[in-house]
Amino acid sequence: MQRSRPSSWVRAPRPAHSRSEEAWEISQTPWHAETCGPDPLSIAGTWQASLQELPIPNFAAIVEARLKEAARLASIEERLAGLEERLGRIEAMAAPLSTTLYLSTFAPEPYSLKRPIPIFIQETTGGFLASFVDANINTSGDTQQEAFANARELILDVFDRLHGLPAKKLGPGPARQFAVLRDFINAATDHEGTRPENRQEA
Amino acid sequence: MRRPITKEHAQKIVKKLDAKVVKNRTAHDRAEFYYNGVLICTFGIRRSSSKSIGHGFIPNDLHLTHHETLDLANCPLSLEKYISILKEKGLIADEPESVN
Repeated sequence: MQRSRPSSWVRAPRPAHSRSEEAWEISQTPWHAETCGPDPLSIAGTWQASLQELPIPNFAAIVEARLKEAARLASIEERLAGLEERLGRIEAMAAPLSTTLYLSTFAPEPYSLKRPIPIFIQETTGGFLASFVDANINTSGDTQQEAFANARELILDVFDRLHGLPAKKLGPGPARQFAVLRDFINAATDHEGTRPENRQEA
Repeated sequence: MRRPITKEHAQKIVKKLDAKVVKNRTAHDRAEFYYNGVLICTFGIRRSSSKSIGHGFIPNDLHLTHHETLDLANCPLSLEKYISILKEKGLIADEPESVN
């Protein structure tokens, strides 16, 4: 017995057109410029002419020039970095600003000098160091002048202080300091210092 | 760059050495270090209120290097070790005569 097809059975829809057919149909569809803007295919005829008007022949030259410029800049940057590093090394090796000034008078203080005292002044981080190297007397100041003035005062203070102590209370360092100071400074005869009358010689 | 020696370091060293601070006419006070009653060395302390002000002259005063001075202030270098360094340099007699 032959079975009849159910009434609800329907055939599958016909497959869609191939892509090439769809493209062909689109190309045949009238372009509605008022809703879709200018027809891109309408300028197809002028595209090649426009391309020829572009500086395409110079494009390679432009790219080459820009690559050369980039390479030149990279080279300059590399050389600059090298110079900066070299400058840093030179600055690190360079001796700080230093000079030697001579103290030739203690006026108006009542002391006299047998000979000028060399004060070595050296620039350091945030100021200046002043040293009477032979006597190991060191001080500092914000400026060269201040450091020198502080050294001048300190030399007299140390001289007075060591002068005021009995020799047996001076260790090897201070005793040597005092010996050096006496080579340079005459104790003031009219100075009302702390010098004891019965002071033992160091 | 070396770490600077500051007033704070100087004050720590004064405390560690139990140094006697003497006021004088300069812009610096003087700290005196005595060992067995004998003056061994002195060093200056700037009167500025800034604790970070430089005291780069202290190593020479203490007969130490910059690094040793920082160590003395910051504890790695003990008082006993400092005294032994001074003895090695002949700045303290091995058997000091006590003077009181």
